[in-house]
Order: sequence, then structure tokens, then C-alpha cells
Amino acid sequence: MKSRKIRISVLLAVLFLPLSGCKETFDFLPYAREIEDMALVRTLGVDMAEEGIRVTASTGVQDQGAKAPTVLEQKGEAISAACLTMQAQGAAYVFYGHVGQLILGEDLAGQGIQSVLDYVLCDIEMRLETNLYVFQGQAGPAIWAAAEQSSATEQLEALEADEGLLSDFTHRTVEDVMEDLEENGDSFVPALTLNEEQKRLEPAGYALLKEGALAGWAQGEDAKGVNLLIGRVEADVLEAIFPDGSRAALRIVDAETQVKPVFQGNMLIGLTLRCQVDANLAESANATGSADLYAAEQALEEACQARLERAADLCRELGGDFFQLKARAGRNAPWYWRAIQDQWSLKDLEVDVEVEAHIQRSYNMRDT
Amino acid sequence: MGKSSQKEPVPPHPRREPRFSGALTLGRMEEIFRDCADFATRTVEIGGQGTPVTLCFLTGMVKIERVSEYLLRPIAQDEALEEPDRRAVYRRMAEGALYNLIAEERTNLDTAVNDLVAGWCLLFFPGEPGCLSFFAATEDKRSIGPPESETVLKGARDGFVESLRTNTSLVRRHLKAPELKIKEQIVGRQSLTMVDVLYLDGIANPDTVREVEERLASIDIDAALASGNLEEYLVDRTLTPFPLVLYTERPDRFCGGLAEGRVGLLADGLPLGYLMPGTVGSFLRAGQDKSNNWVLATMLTFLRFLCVMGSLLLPALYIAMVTFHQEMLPTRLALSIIAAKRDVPFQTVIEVLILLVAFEILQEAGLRLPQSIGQTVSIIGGLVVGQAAVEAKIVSPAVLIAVAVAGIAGYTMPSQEMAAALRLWRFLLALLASAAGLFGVAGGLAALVYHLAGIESYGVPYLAPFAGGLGLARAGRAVVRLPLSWVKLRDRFLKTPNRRKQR
Repeated sequence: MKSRKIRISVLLAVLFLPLSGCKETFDFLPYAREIEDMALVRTLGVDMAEEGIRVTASTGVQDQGAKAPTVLEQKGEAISAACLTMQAQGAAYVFYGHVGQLILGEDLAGQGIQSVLDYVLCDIEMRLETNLYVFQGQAGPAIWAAAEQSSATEQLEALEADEGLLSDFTHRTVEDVMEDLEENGDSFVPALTLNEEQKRLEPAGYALLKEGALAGWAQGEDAKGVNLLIGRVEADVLEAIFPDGSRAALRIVDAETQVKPVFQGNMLIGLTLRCQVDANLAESANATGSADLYAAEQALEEACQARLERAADLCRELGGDFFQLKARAGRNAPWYWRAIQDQWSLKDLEVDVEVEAHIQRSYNMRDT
Repeated sequence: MGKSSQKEPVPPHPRREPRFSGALTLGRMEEIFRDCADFATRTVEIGGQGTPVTLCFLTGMVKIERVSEYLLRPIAQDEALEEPDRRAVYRRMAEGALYNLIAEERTNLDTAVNDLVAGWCLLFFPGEPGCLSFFAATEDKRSIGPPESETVLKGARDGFVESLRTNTSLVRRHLKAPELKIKEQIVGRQSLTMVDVLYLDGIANPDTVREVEERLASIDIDAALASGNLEEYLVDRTLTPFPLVLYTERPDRFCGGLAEGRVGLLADGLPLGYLMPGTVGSFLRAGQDKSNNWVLATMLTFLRFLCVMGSLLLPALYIAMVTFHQEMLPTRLALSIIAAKRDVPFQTVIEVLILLVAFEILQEAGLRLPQSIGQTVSIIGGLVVGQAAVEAKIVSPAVLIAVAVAGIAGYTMPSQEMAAALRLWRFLLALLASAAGLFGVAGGLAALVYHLAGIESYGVPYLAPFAGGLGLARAGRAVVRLPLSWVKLRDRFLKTPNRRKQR
């Protein structure tokens, strides 16, 4: 009976503890924040400032038919300091748990992105799945400019949704880039530019990172070569000219590239980039025979070979293994992994590009 | 310490044995049933002109036609009874001169009184020390119909009724094995309710049978009228909202339980049968499962388990994610919730609690009203008030959806008692989630598992087959309903003497 009374007393004491008014009593509990009192930051831009770092945060359009996005900007010695200062800018709690796009300015990328990646890794709210971009110029002003049209968030989400239709652009997450940098210190990140007239963020190929810092750009045909190399081509239209002078449009629908090491004895002497490309004959007035298809395939192989060679040349010129060719060669011939590691020197290797193209559909109903 | 703090002594509650003292005479009987409007006597002369005999009965408890035709008519008209020797006439009546199926000679006053209230007629002979008792109870009862709370698509349509004998006959018709034993006890000092323990000899665990009988015998209450009067005395532990004995309105399901090795219990006046022991798995099995294709039954069982989790956790998870772990929400969902909660004046936990309480009130109101009005209340409450509350920005649509989905998920439980217990824990988990987010929810779930793991039903762990060292395969079979031909053995945790149930 006595122990029962003690138990009831303890229970009542615990139940009445909240009435004591001692907030510190419950400090061990997590802190509650109502979601409607939050501003969900969805795009974050980071630039170099005169003294430290400038962070620009955009919430995106929060509600259908709602007002323009909220854009906040603060400077600080570090990203976390700037983000903390941003909390004081309004009544709402600025929440970084839904940042989907992280845009780095060109200056900052030139000095190295490791500090930014460390921030994403260590911050409890940021996610490794955040898409990473490098902007050609200052990221902050671009986010402000995009907010005049719609918002950087919506524009980049549209780009990501439609990237299958672009043959020179693909998204990369912070996690992808960190893995690359951990592997060999080099990586590549999609690049952005601003269409000043339309206030729109547009793709601009890729930023190439060497030892974690911006080393150069892959744009135009180079960027298309990158997409072929990493096998991210879902739709690209290429024009082929037949021997009789007529033209046809080829739509590339798939590409897969294997990186094979070439050995002479135990000596690594080169790399073979073997690419298999599938395409459809999209438009052609006269191409109906097998000779025409063969010619189309030839034209496709030549174009893809040129693109791949340009991507490989970029690596040799800038001296970086941006596309993880070494690791891919090792995975292709794991029994040579030790030799590949010891002898790897991309600029000294002969890179041979082989492309095999297939026209899968010709729309020639008479042959079917 | 004052007097008020002293505990009031509990008055004694002695059982008077015998209940009525004195000799078994007509006068004593009339004295006992004084001021009882339904007590009736009829004096008839044997053969119309001989010895007067008196018939006592309770009107409404006996079938009048049977009394008139099989008792009064022979007494008045049978020439064979016109003998001068009263003793010989008495003996002839006891031995078959009156055409009743059951005739007993009573010399004990208590027994005779019990007979009378059970629908028997007592025939008093002048000068005889006892009386003759004839069974003439009325068979007026609700006709056997389909069970209302356990609808069935494919299967038997009969359901238990309020008459104990009808119910035992229903069981006998489904289980014709002579090994089916039906042991009877009287429970309740005032109600004198007949309670039968049913089991298959050689299949049911004798220890469980003995324990059920002992617990029944130890019940000393005034009246066993409601189902709770028995249930609470039959279970090991009352400090839990979870049901510990399974009940069903369907004789086929009841018999299925007996064949599995469980012990059944039927009570007069209750249109349902209890099965013991009850385990978590058995409360999540519907009677329909064995009639369905095994793949379909497995899918439905899996769905039911999913609904248990949904019903229990959905409001708590909503509170935790909206208040503490906003990063867990997909961005678009988070934005939708923000838009929906804009202008709602209450905190999330208050919103959820308001709706949970409103849900309980609606359910209670729907149950207490006639079915047609109950449906109207549900529609008005659920749709009109819900919609109005959302439009008035008292609650947000997201909360309404979360609570409604949790509520509907609860209705998939075959046992509404289990669903009610889960509803209680749903409140607790919601409060814990409001205090500590997912940590609170995880803590609450751990407390729930701890609570359930501490319960036993007749020596069987309540969490069986998920607990009790029965192995993963057996636990899996609580969710996966294997083809019946593959299941050769009865459940081990029921400790049946004969585990093999098919070739």
C-alpha cells in the first residue's frame, strides 16, 4: 500500500512538473516549431564577398498563385554565420531542411568548394541530396534576378525535370560531387548562366573541378561529349548528310560508354572509350534503303566520336580526371586495378574512341 | 489524523446456504413468491372428482399450451389416475402418466424455487413431503439470424441468440463430435445466469479448461447480465484496455476456435460466445479469412496490420513531422501543409486533439442513436461539420485527412475492442509526439510493446506468436495465411494435447 502511494505521488509530481513554470526542466526535449511559422529555403546561393562569404537564400514561390518568392541575403565570415544572421531578418524561422539547389558563384568555385561541401555535410538541416550548380559569375544577383520573373527554385526544378531533353546538361548532387572528390579530387558540376533579358537561369554546360576548385568549363559540343561519356543522353537531335546531299534528322535516344584500359604486357599504354549509341531516324524524306541507313549510322558515329574525343581532350588539357575515367577503367578490368593505380597518367595515355551506332527505327513502314 | 481519513470497513457479504429455509410445501412456496404478479397456481382435482393437486408456475416463463395439454388435461381426464391410493397416483405421475419429457421429484426447497424461475412447473400433492417438477419453459426467443457485427459474404449465416440452449445446439450442429463437452455453472446471486464452458476433450488444454471453470466458480456477483460482468472476471489482468478474450457472434467461428484447441464459453442472455486464450494475432484475424483464397486472405491480413500501424501512428507522426521534423516531409507536401495551416489559430497538437475528440464524440453519438439517425449524425458530423471547421480555419484540411484516415483504418479491425484500445493509445502517442516528436513516438511505442509483452491470457503470452520464442516462421504465419492443406499442426502456444489436425 505504501509503495502504491509513493508511485502515485511520483506520477502526480511528474504530471504537475509543467505547472512549475520552469522551462529549463524540459530542456532535454527537442524544441518544437510550427511549420507555418517557417520560411522554407529552397535555393541557396553562395558567393565570395569582400570580407568573407555572401549567402543568398530564396524560398521559391511558396503557394500557388501566391506572391513572389522571399529572397534573403547576408554576409558572414562563414556560410553558417551568414545563415544565422539571416534568422534575424524576419519573424519566420528560416529553415534549410528543404534546400534543393545550391548555387556556387564562379569566384568561390575558383577558390575551392570544399568548405561549402563541409557545411552541407555538417549542418543538421542541409541534405546531401541537394543539387549543386556553379554559376558563371555571381550567384546572388542571379537569384535576385530570377525572383523578378518567377524564382530560381522553379526555374531550376523545371531544368531538372526537362534535363532528359537536354544533351549537354544533367544534375549532380552534393553527394555525387563529394564522392568524386573523395575518389580523386576532381569532379564536374552543371554550370548555369543568366539570360539577362528573360531573367532566366539557363544551362551552360559543366564546370570542371580540379582538386576541388574550378579549373575550366565544358560547353557546347564538349558538354555533349561529357553526356555521352557518362551515358546521360535521352534525346538529342543530330543532322546527317547523305552521299547524295540529302539530309536526315537523327534522334539519339540512348548511349552507353565503357572505359577500357589498354595494356602492353604489364604496361598501361592507353584507354579505349567504347560507346554504343542508339538513335531513331526522326526526319528523312528520301532515306529508305539500307545504304542510307548505313550512311546515317556512319554520320552518327563520326559526330559522337568527335564529341567524346573533345571531352577526353579536356581532361588531358586541364590535367584532371573529371569524369572518373581511372575508376571506371579499374571497374572494367579489376584484375589490373593495382597497375592502373600505379601507372595512371592521363596526359601520357593514348585515348582511342570507338563508337558503334544503331538506327533502331527508320519509320519505313514498307520494310516492316 | 481525523476520522475521515480512516478507511470505511467493507460490510460482509455472506452467501446464505440454503437460500430458503423450511419445508417444501405449497404454502412456503406462496410465501416466497408473495408480491410476485407472475406467480400463478392452479388447483385441479384428479380425474375431475378426486384428490385436488396444485400446479405452480411463473406466467411468461412457461409455455401455457404445453402446461394445459400435457399436464392439466391428463390430470383432469386420465382415468388411470383415479385411484384411491394417493401415493400410487403420485408415483405414476412421476413415472410417466404425465407426458412431459423431463419430470423430476423435488424435496429441497431451494431446488424447487430454482426450477420455478427457470420455467418449470411444480405439482404439489396434499400430504406428500415434496413435489413433482416438470420442464415446461417457453421457447420464445429471437429467431436465429445473421450476426449483425460480423458480416459474412461466404459462410454460414447463423448467429448466436440470447438463449443458451439454442446456442449450444448451434455449436452441436457445427461440431458433432461426442468429445464436445458442455459443462454448466450458475453465475450471479440474483441473476442465476447459466454459463456453459465448451471444449473438445482431447484437443483443448485441460489446464485452460480447469482454470476457466475455477474462475467461473469464483465469481460471486449479484448479476451476470452484461458481457463485461463475465469478461472482467475471466481475464488475468484488468489494467489494460486490450481485450484478452476473443468473442464472436458466429457459431462457425466459435467452433473453429474450439477445433483449434481454445476453450469456449456461452452465457444465457448473451448472443455471443467467448474463446480463450486470446492473443494479438487472433484479434487481427477475421472469420472470413479461412473462406477467402489464401493469397487474398494474406493480403487482407497484411493490410489489417498496416491499418493497425496507421490507426495508431498517423496522428502522432503528423504532429511529430509538422512540429519537430519538418525535413522529413517532401517539400511540396510541406508547402501544401503550410498553405493549409495559414490562418489556423491553434497549434498542431491542439488541432489533432480537437479532431480526435470530435471523432470519438461522433462515433459515440452514432452508436447510441437508432441506425438511421446514426447515419445522419455521421454524415452531418463528418462531412458538414468537418468541412465547416476547415472553411472556418479552425482546423486545417491536412489534420482532418490524417485523423480521418487513422479513424477509418481503425475500422478495419475485426475486433472493435482492439480498435478501441488502439484509439486510446493513439491519444497517448499524439501527446508524446507533441512533447518530444519522434523520440516521444518511439518511447510511446516501446511502452506499448512493454505493456503488451507483460500480458498473458491463460498462460499464453498476449503477443504470441510474435513473442514467446515461437520463431520467425510461426510469427510470419500470423500475417501470411498459408493454404490450409499445408498447416498440419495446431498452434503450439495453445498447448493442445493433440497437435496434429490433419493428415
